Amino acid sequence: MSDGPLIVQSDQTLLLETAHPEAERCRAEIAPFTELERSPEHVHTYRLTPLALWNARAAGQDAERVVDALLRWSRYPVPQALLVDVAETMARYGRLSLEVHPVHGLVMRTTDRAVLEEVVRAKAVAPLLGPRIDAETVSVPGSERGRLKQALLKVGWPAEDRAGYVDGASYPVLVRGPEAFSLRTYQKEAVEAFGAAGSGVVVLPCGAGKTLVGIGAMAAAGAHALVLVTNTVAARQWRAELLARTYLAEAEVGEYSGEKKEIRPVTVATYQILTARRGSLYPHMELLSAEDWGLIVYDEVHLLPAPVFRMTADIQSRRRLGLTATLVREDGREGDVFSLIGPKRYDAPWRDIEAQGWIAPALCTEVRVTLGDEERMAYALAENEERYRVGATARSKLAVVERLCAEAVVRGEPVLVIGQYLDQLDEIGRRLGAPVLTGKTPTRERERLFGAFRRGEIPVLVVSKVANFSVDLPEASVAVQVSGTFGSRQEEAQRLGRVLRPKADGRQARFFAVVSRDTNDQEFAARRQRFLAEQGYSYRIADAEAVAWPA
Amino acid sequence: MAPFPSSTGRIEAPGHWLEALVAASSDELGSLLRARPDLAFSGPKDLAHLAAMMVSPASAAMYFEGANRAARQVLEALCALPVPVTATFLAGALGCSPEALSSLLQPLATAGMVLRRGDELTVNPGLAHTVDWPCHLGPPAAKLLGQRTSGELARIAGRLGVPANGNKDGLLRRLTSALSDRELLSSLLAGAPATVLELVESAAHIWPNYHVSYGVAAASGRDEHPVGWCLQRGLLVGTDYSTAVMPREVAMALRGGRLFPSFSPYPPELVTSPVDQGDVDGDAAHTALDLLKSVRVLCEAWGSAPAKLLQAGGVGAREVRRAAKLLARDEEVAARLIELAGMAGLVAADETLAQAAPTAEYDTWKGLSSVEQWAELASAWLMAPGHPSVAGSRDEDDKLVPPLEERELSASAVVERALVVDVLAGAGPGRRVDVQSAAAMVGWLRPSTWESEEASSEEVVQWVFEEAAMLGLCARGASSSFGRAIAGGDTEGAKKLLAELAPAVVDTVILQADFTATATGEPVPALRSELDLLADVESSGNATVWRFSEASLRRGFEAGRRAADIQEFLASRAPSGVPQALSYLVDDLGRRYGRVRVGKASSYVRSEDPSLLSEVLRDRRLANLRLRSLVPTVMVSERPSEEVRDALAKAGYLPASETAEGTLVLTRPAVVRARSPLAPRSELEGGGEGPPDYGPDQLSELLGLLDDLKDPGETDEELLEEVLGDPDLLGSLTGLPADLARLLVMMSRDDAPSSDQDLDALVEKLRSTPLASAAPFPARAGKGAPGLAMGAGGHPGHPSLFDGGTPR
Repeated sequence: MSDGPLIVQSDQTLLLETAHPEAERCRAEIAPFTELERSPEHVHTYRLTPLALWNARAAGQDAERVVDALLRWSRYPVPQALLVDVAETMARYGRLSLEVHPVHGLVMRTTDRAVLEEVVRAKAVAPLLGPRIDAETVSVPGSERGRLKQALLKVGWPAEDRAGYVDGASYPVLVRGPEAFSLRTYQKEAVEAFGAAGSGVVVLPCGAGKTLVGIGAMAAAGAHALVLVTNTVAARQWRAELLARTYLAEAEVGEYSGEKKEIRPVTVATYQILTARRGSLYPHMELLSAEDWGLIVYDEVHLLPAPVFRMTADIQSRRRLGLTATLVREDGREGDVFSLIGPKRYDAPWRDIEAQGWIAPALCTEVRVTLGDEERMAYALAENEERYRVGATARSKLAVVERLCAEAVVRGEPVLVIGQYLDQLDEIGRRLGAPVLTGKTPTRERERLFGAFRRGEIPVLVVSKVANFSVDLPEASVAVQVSGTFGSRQEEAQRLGRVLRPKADGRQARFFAVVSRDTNDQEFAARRQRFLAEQGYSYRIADAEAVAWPA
Repeated sequence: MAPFPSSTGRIEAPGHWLEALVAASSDELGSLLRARPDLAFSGPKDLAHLAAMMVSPASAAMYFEGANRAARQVLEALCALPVPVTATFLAGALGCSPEALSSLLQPLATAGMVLRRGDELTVNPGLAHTVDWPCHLGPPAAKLLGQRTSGELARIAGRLGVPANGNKDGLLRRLTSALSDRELLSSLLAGAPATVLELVESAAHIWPNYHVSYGVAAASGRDEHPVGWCLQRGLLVGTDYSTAVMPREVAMALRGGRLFPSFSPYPPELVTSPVDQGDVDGDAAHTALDLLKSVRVLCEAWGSAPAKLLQAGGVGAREVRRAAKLLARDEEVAARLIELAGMAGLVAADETLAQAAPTAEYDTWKGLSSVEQWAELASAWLMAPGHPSVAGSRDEDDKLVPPLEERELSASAVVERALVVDVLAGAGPGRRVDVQSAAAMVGWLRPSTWESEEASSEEVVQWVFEEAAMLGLCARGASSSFGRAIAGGDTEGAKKLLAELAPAVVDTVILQADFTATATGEPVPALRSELDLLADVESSGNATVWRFSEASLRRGFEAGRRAADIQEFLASRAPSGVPQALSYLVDDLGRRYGRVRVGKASSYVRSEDPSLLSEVLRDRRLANLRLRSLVPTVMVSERPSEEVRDALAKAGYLPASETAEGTLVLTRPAVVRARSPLAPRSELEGGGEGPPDYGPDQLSELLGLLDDLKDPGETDEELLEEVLGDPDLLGSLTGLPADLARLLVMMSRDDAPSSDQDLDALVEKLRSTPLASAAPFPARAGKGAPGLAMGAGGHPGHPSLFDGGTPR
């Protein structure tokens, strides 16, 4: 019996013992064809999913190598049924391909006639096809390229898209010298992997410099480029980065948002404006076809809204780059990302990057506050929909928030206090004498506050959930979360991203979540705890009276 | 030598059989006793006694039962052919070479079934009663026609063109010779109508008897009727009112002198193909352990929610579907699995409660290691008096047979299974066995087992293959190493082999901050059961992953664990340490658990903390409970206490139940147990070596027969001893194949010789005991062995049972 680091379960999960001397080599081999489900301190769980296997297949791996890896690293005999399943699943990718025929234009071709016969009869597929050309080929209307790929994935025969891309209007994007723009090894690999494929997703953790990968891809494409981001602040940051890292002039980089409607050779637009509706129409969606874009970058592709997917289906001949920290979507539409943006092209192991010092490891502490009698009564009496707010905004939390902030200030660590309820945030701001930044804060004021915080002029900044997405606060090494209902996986990733940026001096980031004991605030905390622990963060629970500065 | 039994109630062997024994060497006697163990078990007093038993119908029949097709055909042929028979003649009648025949005769001679004197062969006279219609042939013409009047014979002779003059004996001889004449018969039949040819064909080749519903006599006068046509020419002879039989000579002539349409001295070819034994073992270990998991899941599920029984008994399709879903297996497989668990005594149908649930035996089994659990299941299967796959199959009316339905015990299933398993295991390591050829092989090995079976033998063979695969005795159509071991009776060896393939046994877990506990192998039972209590299984297989939650830990507190107990357990089982968050959670729950207490009798809620109680009282989520306050620390509800407790728990109060005295009630989730139909099996504790211990009590229960047989004044033990002393009687009474009867006899006798030393000692005793007289034979008048009608005539010459044996 081999003594490998991997245990293969028949429910398609793979358990990797990280303390095993061979664990790293094993991880490097299995990561490309699995999804990392959780990576707590000792045993990491990977899952074999069809999408993960197809991603691997698209990256040129074959079933034999996957089976080999499983057999080589497995400690116990691998269930035969699982190996058969892996081989069968992988064999489904690429039986069908989309190609350009010299006479008929876009066609779907097969190496396996039976598969073609099966799919042309599938209800979801048939309406997307044109006339049959021969036993192995059927023509496809160009406009259906994306929808056809979606439908084929759904029936379990994902097609390989070899139909190529239009180059778009040529436009050189020149990057500045090494002091302003230099790519780390993994970023370079990501740019190259994407460039070779033409479309697909690059997965990098928060703080690993996805923006730079995007700029690198633009430079390589040398064409008109459209960048889609989650909100205006993020758009401004992208713009600032583009101006700082490249020789593009102000006038060459446009912002297309609620406030400005500029269309320039390089344009940064928000999902918000694209999906803004007038009646049943999306008037701004035309932006996607307004220019002869040579590259479209989708930032935070896991948040891509459904209408943008629909539009993306129509522009399958343009190069598309998805950037994200996670392929997991709360809405389960990972398959659409695969079909419409493209397969995963690069996936840097988070822990490797952390080990290289690009990301600061974070210490997480949940601080439990015992509510006073009155607060408990108020909580018990509250209506269901009010109950969370009553628990989460309990005044008993304020003392410990103050104490943590004071401790951080003494230590010279900039603090972000994050919360959901404005009353609560205002009160904290008053008590701490700290500025409060919310959705109502004008953009200019926001940028000013961020700037001051970055420069260390403001030691404590209180922010609402607007801070969750794509703002860059490089010097925040401590985050205190006082409220937040969501407990969703991305939100946690985002919040932690705030404090995960690399610190100049290699200090440890600290994340505190202050929760009210015996309320549903605590239930949400339990979910957060699970998520963070699964991501491998150190996680402690402490009583408010006994909380110590984690070392 | 006089035929037996003698007037004194003793059975004596014809002299030359005894002479052969007297002349035999010790080795030869030893071989005889090994080939026919029943002779040794019945405790022969001396060689005369042994000889008498050797030719007794019971013992001869037992050998015939267990013989393979070729041996049976040889024995049948010897019964059918007129004496004296030479080996050369026999070879001709069988259609095989004398050399091939001699390889078949050798073991028959060793076993005392054939006596060789010079070139002459004599078949064991005891067989005459077993083989009624040897080779499907009727009685000799002389015997049949001898019953008819001379007038009738003369008429037949007339039709055959045989002179009808002279005395009856002469006429009989002439008729016999005419009916044996192939040419005469073919010219006779050349002019016969097609219906006659059809009838003759069937009587000659398939079965010699013909049933004439309106009477043979009525038919005999009508030449236009095919039966009448044959009767008038002696091709059929009436034996009673409605039966006509074809004389042996006629059928032999029509068969062209061949006794069997096909005869081969060799077994059919077993088709096998190579397969990697390592792959086989890996897969087999997987399925074996998977099966255990399924059985545990099923039993745990039925323990809290028993399956309802059908009115007619058994677990209905709906419950089977539920189980299939639970186990993520096909319904057919789920039914089979339930039946198997029933056969192993782990689940049972309780008719009075109309439900099926795990037995107390399951609790013992659950505490065993996986390897032990597997050995229990596999041993139970090997000895199960029925095929688990009957459950879930379709009966004659195309209805699904429900599992755990009361069915007749089918002892032949044990033999059938053993045969198939032997063939499968016998193919050796790395050989995949073709099912169809295995079916042909087991048919050849023991024709008697399969002829009586309702289900076709191929179906049964397929079942056994599938069941063996489910248990991991085979995989990919080839036997596993541990499967071969347990099939060969080496249970300990099998366990060792499986243990090497199974995940390592671990007594520790890895605890992580995401509240999971991971056992990277097979957890020891104590670890598994405690974690099952404190956490929920998230993934199982080679490794097991549990997850702790407030709800799961609450189960622990409800079962009486204190926070300190849980901490200690976790610390002692987790070498990598207990994550602070988990430790905190346990302490926090321990602190809060029981702060709210719920009483059952009057359903009250009380707490030392008045404000907490008034909080509870005014909690909108608990409005349904209609709580009212009695004193600041006590309130009551109209709702049942369980509902109150659950609602409080759901609202996050962690209530504890308490007794009238105010002490905490420890509760576990209610589990149901059914009474096992089998008494607890001793080897559950003892490691289970060898066949299960069927003591006299169990036998009587199993067979349920003894009361009817009991003579006045006889004790149970005496009666049982008597029945067990006579496998044939036992077999005929119970319908058990003689083989199984023999097995039971063997197992019931403490003094039965089992080792080679025992046998050698017996042989020496027999050889040294003077032949005082024929020893009494335990024949049971009236109830027992059928009387004997045929003895072998005395023959000159030196009898020799053994090849190359010379008279001494």
